[in-house]
Amino acid sequence: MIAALPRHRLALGILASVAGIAAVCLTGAAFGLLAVVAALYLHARGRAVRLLSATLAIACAGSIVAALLYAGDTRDLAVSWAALSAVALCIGAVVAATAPTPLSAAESEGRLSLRVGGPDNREQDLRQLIDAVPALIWSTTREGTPTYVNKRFTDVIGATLADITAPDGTLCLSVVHSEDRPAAARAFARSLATGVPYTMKYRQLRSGGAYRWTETRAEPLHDGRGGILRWYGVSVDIDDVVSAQEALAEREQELSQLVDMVPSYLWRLSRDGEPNFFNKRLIDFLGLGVADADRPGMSRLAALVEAVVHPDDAARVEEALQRCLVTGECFAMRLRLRRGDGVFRWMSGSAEPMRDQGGCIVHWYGLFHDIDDQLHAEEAVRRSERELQQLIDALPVHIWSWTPEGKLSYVSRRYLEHLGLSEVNFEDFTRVVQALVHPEDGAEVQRTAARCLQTGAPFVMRYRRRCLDGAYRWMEGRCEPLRDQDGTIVHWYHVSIDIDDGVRAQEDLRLAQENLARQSQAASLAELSASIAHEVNQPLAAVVANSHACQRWLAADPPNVQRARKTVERITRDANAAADVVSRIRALFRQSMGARICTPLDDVIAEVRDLVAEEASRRGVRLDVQVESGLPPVALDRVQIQQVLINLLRNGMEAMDATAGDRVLGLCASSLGKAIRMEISDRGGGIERPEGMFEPFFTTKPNGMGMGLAICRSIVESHAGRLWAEKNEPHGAKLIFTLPIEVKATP
Amino acid sequence: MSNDSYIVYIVDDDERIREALSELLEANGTRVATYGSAGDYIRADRPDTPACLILDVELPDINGLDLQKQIADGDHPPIVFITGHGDIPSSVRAIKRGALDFLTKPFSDADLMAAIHAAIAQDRERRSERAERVALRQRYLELTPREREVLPLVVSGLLNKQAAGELGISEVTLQIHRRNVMHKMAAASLADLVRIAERLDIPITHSRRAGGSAT
Repeated sequence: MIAALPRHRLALGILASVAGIAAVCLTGAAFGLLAVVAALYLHARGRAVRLLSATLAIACAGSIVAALLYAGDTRDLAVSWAALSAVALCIGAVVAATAPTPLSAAESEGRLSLRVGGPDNREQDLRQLIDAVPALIWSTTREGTPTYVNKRFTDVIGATLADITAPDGTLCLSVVHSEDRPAAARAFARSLATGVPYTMKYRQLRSGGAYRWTETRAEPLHDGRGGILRWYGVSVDIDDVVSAQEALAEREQELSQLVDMVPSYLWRLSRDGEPNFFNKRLIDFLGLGVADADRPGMSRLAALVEAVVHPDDAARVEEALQRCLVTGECFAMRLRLRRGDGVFRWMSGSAEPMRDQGGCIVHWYGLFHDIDDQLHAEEAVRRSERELQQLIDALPVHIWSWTPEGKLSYVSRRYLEHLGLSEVNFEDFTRVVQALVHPEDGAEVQRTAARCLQTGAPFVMRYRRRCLDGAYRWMEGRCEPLRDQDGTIVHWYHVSIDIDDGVRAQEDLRLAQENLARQSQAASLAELSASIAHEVNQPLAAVVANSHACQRWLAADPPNVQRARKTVERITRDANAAADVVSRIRALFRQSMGARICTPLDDVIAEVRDLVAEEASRRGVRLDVQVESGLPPVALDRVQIQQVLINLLRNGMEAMDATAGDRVLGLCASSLGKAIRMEISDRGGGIERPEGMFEPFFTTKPNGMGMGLAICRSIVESHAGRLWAEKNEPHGAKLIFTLPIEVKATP
Repeated sequence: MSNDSYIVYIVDDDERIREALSELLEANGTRVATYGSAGDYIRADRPDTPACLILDVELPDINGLDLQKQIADGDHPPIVFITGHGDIPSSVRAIKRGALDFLTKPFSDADLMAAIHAAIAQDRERRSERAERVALRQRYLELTPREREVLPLVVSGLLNKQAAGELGISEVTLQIHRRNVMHKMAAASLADLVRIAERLDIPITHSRRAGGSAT
């Protein structure tokens, strides 16, 4: 209907013009032309209106001039033309003034009329134009019924006007992607209802079956009274743009995700140091955004620094930032940032300026990296290292380490303090040993250490070491190598412990034990003597009683010979028993031989000397021990031979108790070739009966039991040696025993 | 002194010693009983005659000294210790506890016999004393209660009048009691009665001065 309107108007105009011209011809009055003028004005557009108006104005002016210049009929004619022209001008002015839109309407009317009624080539041009425009052009009626689609529409979409027209005559959006269709339909319906221009982007079907993003715009064509005549629409393919936009958006999102997901806190400052960006992580961390800390009267940077930086760090941070902003240097420092929950965490902050091509700073980009855990871990490591160090220093041991080459690489402080020897050159092991180790132990320490370094065997040794006060204390040094995976020694670690008290206690204990052993030896000898006495005295008592009884029987009147004989038999029996006891005792000592072990005599003598040294000094006796060097070892029972020596030495010492002069007890060991001769000489009272003294129960001492020398002789003889006594010159006694070097089996 | 009138007990774990000693004592005409241990001796029935115990210090069950200590309270004969090896502390201990002698083996027969004789003499004396005390005790038990009351007063030296006053009886009655006491206790005189009372451990409870005024 809307499309039919211009054609009717054209026809109406033509009809009015024809009627007007006919009226002019019939009436001869030119006023019939007004219909034509009116028709012309109705359809004229733009320049045509002005041309028409100008023509009419000129006609009017010419007629008036003719009417003024010429009189008569001509004048009347001119007046009437002038009037006509003026009226026509008025009509034109009225028409132009009352409806500007009708002007465009008239234009489109004229354009359409050109298509309808205009020459074929113009319409052709227009159609070509419409079809060539790279847009899909369509129109609908006011109610939305499709009235036109251009050729491109049909070509591109593959749908004709009929295809987009629903059976009820409304617009069918079948070419729109089903997902976009409802929104498009709603928007179109709203536009139809309200007359608001229709703009929509949706995916539209293409003849190939694909959907492409299309932007469709439609605007209503209004009639002069504000009513809508038609809707004209154009659909432009924006798929490439949309794709590009999507890609862009995607990239942007990725970028922002990157910025937000990077496990760091990113920020940006303007050229002047105004913070203008925090990444999401930073915002989450701080619990505030770029502008949240803003305070009037201070810069945003200062406000933020005050709000989030640890008070102890704030001044430093601000100063550093300001300096960087001025100088353009990179910013880097460690600082504590307040987290949203108020906890400060250590951050490593850094920022660099971004410069434009001219070298001017555009922005500062910075990041904070959370190093709190790392710092705590480092702190923990440092603490544990410190504690370890303290532990090492506090331990009552001395620790040091060597390189595999034997250089000292570490010495614990306690060690240095203990020694008070900072001047010792710890690089040189030999000098250390010389300076610190007891001269008697030094060589052995060096030897052992050198062997360990060479073989990799652990070093364990006891030695005496000099202390601060110059005294030597016993130390136990232990050293073990640390090896790498290949077994190569990378380090030696040495610990030495002061065991002086322990060693001394052990020494005391050993002395006490020896003392005890000596005492128990004395006690057991006393017990032995008691039991020997009992064993011997029992049969002796029986002998005595029996002999008395025998006497009585014989002295009776008459003598009881039978009983006397019986008692004599008992006497014999019991006397023999007593003799047996004595031989049993000697046999006892012979049988109690321990294992015979080849022993160097000088060792045995040294031990004996140590054992009797204390007693000798107590008795004021000087021991003069002379041991020939190179004595061969002798197979002997060490304990028994020591017992012999101790016994003889004690006898000698006791013998000199009453000596007023020089109390010298000599012990001399020498080789006789096949035997070793041991001589113990005293300067006491000497011996009256050199042989009698070896008999059992012989004694010169008030408390002696008289068994000592007998036992000694048993022992020596059981070693296939001899024991005898000689007089010493000028006075005193010598007790001499020999021990054959090759001991034959004893009988 | 008859040889059969006493017995010697020998306790020694060494049979040879027992044998020899009994031989010696028999040769001297002495009765002997031998025991190998202290237990055997304690368990044995012993005749009621004067006796002597020859005790070895070292015994298998209990030490001789310990046995001495155990039987110290009972009625046992004097002990002569013999030992194989005498030491001073044990001999001192033995003598302190009443041992008669301490002989170290071997010992002479003279020493032994002397010790035995001394022990027997001591035992005899002890026995007779004990027998006398038993007789006195018997006599004392024959006294009437009143007489037993009178006896301490009389031996305390009270005058008849004082004693009568003490008991609340007449002087004449007291004199009758006194005569009976003297008779029953077989006391020849007042001094004899006092000695008897002393042996019976009758305490002297009163003194004449404290008991009342003199007549």
